[in-house]
Amino acid sequence: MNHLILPMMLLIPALGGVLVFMLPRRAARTTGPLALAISCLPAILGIGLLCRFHYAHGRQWQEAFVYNWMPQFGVKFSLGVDAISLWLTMLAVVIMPLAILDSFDKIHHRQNEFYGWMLLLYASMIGVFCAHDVLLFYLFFEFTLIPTFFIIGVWGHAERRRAAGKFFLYAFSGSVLLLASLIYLAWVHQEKFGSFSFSLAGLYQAGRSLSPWQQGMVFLGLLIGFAIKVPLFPLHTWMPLAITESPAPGAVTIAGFKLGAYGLLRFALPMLPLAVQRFTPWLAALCVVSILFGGLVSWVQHDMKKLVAYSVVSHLGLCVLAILALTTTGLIGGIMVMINSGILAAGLLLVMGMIYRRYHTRDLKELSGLARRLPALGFFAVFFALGTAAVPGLNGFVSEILSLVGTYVSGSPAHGGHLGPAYAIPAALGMILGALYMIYWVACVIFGPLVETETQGESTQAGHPARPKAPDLSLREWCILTPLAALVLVLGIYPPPVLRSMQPAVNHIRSRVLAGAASPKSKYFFQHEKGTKEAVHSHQGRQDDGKTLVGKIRNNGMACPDGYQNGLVLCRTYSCGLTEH
Amino acid sequence: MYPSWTPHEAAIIFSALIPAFPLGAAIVLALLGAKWFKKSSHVPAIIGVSLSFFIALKLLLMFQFGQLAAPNATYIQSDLWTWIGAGGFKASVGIFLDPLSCLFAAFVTGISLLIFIYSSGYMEGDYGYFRFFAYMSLFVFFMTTLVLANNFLLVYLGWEGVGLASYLLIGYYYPRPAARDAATKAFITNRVGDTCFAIAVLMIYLTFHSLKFSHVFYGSLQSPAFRAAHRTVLFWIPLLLMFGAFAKSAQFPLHVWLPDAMEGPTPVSALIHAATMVTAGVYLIARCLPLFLHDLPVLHLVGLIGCFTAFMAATIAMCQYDMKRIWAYSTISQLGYMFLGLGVATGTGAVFHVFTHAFFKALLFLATGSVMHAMGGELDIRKMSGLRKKMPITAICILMGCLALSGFPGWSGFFSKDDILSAAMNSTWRFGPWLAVVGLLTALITAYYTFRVFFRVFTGELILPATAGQHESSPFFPPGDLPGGEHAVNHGRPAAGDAAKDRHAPAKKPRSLDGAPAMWLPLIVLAIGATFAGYLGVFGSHAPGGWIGGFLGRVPLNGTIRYVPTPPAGLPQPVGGHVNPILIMIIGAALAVLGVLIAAYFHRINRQAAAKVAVVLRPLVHFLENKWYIDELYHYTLVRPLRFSGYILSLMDRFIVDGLVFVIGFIPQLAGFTIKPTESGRLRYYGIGMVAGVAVVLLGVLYLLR
Repeated sequence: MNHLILPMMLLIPALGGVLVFMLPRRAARTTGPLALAISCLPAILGIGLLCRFHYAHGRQWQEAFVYNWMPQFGVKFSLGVDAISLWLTMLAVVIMPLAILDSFDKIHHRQNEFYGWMLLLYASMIGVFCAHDVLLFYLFFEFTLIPTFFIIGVWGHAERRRAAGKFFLYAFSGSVLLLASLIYLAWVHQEKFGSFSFSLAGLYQAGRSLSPWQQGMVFLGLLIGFAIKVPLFPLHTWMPLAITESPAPGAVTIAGFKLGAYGLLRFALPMLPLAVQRFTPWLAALCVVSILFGGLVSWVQHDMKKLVAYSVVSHLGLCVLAILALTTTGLIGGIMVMINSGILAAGLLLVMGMIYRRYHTRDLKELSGLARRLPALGFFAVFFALGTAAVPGLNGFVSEILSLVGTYVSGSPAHGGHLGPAYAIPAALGMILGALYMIYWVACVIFGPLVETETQGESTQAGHPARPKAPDLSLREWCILTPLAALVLVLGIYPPPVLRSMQPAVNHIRSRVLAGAASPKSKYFFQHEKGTKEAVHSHQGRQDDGKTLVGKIRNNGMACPDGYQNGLVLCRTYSCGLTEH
Repeated sequence: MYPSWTPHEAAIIFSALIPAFPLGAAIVLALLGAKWFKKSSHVPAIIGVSLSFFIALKLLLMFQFGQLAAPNATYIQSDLWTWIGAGGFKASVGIFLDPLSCLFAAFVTGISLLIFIYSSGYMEGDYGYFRFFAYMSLFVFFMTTLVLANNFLLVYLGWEGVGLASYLLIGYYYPRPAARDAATKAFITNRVGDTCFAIAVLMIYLTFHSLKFSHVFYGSLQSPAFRAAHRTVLFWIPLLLMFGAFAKSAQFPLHVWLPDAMEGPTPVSALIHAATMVTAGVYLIARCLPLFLHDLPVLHLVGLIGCFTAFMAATIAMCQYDMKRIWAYSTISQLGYMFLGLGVATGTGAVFHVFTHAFFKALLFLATGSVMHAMGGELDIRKMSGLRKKMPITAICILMGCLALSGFPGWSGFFSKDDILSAAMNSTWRFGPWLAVVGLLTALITAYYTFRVFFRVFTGELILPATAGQHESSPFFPPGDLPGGEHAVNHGRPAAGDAAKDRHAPAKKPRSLDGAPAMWLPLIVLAIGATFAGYLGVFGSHAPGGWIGGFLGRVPLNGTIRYVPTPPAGLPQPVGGHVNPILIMIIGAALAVLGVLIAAYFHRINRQAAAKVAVVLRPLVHFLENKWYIDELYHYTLVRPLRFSGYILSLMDRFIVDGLVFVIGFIPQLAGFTIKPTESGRLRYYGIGMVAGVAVVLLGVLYLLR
């Protein structure tokens, strides 16, 4: 039984993109409105999706569409949404039309190509969030690179080529590892269960049948791919550059959609539970570093867009941290960070684009006191800034507090997970930094005495000292910012419908991870140590030699780790105090 | 009257309206203010807050006459709807009603009402009049939410919300760099405290599995086994809450934002930075006293820091020249008294002082606002004198305020301060009496600096600053900027431009400089309050502490909000004898009178003597004028290093992190470069290469098979 609503949401922007591409250059003026109209259709379908969705069964994949694409490789064109995908799809459906609407006064050459790429990007975003087949997910995930690459490289600012190149190289090299890991998993599925499969369930099964060591390797592959996309601390440097150099609508798509975090949550975690357990402390430490580092660096930026870019790095650190906490609250908090940070970053970047459009500068030091000249724009700027600074009543707070609570209670017997206060408290300091950089930005640009650059608008008569005054928000700009501000407020005041619907889906993922990690009686960490002929195994206080240990592992039904034949296995055993919640 | 509701349900529903009305006013003003309420923005705001005030008063009376007292609990609480709920974590929008929250709600809305009326005169014709009232209404919404909330997260909403409103109002004159910087400082300093509060909330959730007051205070906290099991966390929770309270209430390490906050319009200083918001910290600790009473060292730290802050701020206030800043330091000092009271576990005394302080400090600020209004924005006490003749009503009102603040016998501050000091003197804690001694010394200083202002500004020969009688120039219309084109830019709001022009036009010289009735009527009401509110703490009930004591005595916070009856075993037992409260009252009164007399000598009778003393004590005066150099200390130990580390990290990001990834990316290329020369096409090199390769492989295999 196939539902057509999701394929339509995917096909309309895709075909629309191709159509817009093929429009003649002469029709440049109509491409924008046409693209907007096309982009609104999925939004309308999205309303239908919201109405049809069974929120009580939020963990099930609904509105499924399956087409047997490449049966010999087990690849299916299968789409569907559970509650998590639903809300992330809705985010795409809301933000993309606004980004397209915002492009009207920013894109002045090769419009048809630009809008074509935007629509294709739109389609691939929806695809990423709705794909139920891992290879399909990968295709969409990878395809988002191409439109973004062109949007940055063709319509970007001064350093666009470098930014586009760096963006592509980073993302692509991560993706190669990602693909290798996924294909390896599919091959493992064929080895162990007799057929290739790229379905989520199949790869979950395959991943969990691996030994901890293999899981670790596969996880690293997935992790690097996703962490670049997230981006996490040492791999983030492409993002500030890409956001700064791309035009505002492009920056919105980069900062607004958290594909990497989604991939980590949906694929890496449930497929490789043992590896997750192994890597969680390190990864969580990186997240905390991301939070604090992003916040501090954001504070000293002179370029407004860079400031937002680093704030996104900071927020995503919190997002991944909360996901790794593996508590229901934390997972929901992490997903809410994806949604809320997406909305807020989009709002801020759009506001900054509007400022840039008026003053042709992104430098904090060159502008001041804009609230006096542009009161409405100033209002939205302060509003989004406060949301980003996690003022309660706005959406940023909801995600921040849930993530922190989720991280803090993680590790306690009642909640499961492996993190705890040691991670949550430094992460909470991110709240101070959040206020610091956002309020600093407001103080620099929006408040203070009015200082403007020379606007390059309509020139006045020669010799006339009065400069043309930057106009306040136009109707089009009101239409862009108001929906975002409304979402910020609604999700801040009354988030329970979203939170509640996600609970079953999140618990489903959580139980997969925890069950996967708890199924062997113990969890083993293997380290190759050359030169030693003995293995140390402290199991319930007893010391066993390597052979006994290997026998034990076999008896427990676990695959043997590679390289154990040399007997060079150092194992540490932890009791798994994990409880199903 | 309420056909289908029990009194409890009715009370809950009505109390939910207390924040709702100001919120409605704020929304109306935000959406329609610029168009419809341009000149009458005060109307919706005043209607909103007065409705809230009447409801709060009604609730207060219901508590007073026992209509809400259930047999086994003296609080009622109810969840209205879920705000945030995920996993086991749940925070609701809900109401907690007991005498404490009722008293706070009533005085917050009451003072707000008076200040709103005053503002309608004070802010008249200002650019962004509706913005002012929208923010003020928003503030009342958040403040009433804070005091009526039934769980910690909702308190946190109000807590950050009042901080937000304070930020927006300090930055009300945002084109002024000083206002912008003060607003930023206030927000960041408060955020430090808020983060402590947030971490405390996390701990409370993990420890108690709930954030509701009813659950936290009346649940497992009562069991000794539970307390023993959570000893560490029960130390950290009050400590972090304390830091949260100290940021909001401007106590010692985090007080630096409050004096700068005087950049906001004067009614804002009166309402937010004197009467209501800054007392939120006192409310929080009074509310959480059950948590504090189980960890007395933290409670004592509260008292100690409160006492120190009271002393420090009072000394600074002696050597400031800006009237509003003097009152700001005085506010910090008085808040210190309140925390001193909490530190010796007299919640009633602290709340009583909050109550009286709200009257006299609001009065002092508003009267100062009238002076500022009349003097064209001048506030330097060295530049004016003898204003009594020009502003008789203001002078009398401010005299009442000064008497109350200095603790002059008979006025309200006298009773409430005395309550706290005698509790400290009789505290079971060893250092309690010492704190009381410092408190008494501070009372002397208080009386001195208060009357220094009064005698300087209102008595003596008439001196007016040059700007007197003019309107303060608006920061929104700086001379020279926006030449003539304001109307062209601001389509649809010519009135602001007109108002600005009016402001610059020479005003008719009125006979008295007291201002419009909207400005002096609230002053009179507040002056009456400042004079007589203290008697509520003496008469009106048989309980100790008068009506306030009797009313709050019913707050069922273990029944120990008033006192720790006996310290738990292992803690120092009571030392010293029981000091008669009457004796402390007499000492306090004598010190207050002495302070007033000293001030009278130096600033009324012989003003040259003050200058001579200042020359003799030059280093000390410098130290105090510079506020103990605490701002500088923070600047060089916190702000600079943090910003510097930000720059360092930013450079690291650019050159090291990015560089490292670049190097990794470069490796394949590098490998290509190194191998390239070997592709020379010469056969013997290939041969050598082959042999070498085979050798390496063989060696490797041998090594592995050894």
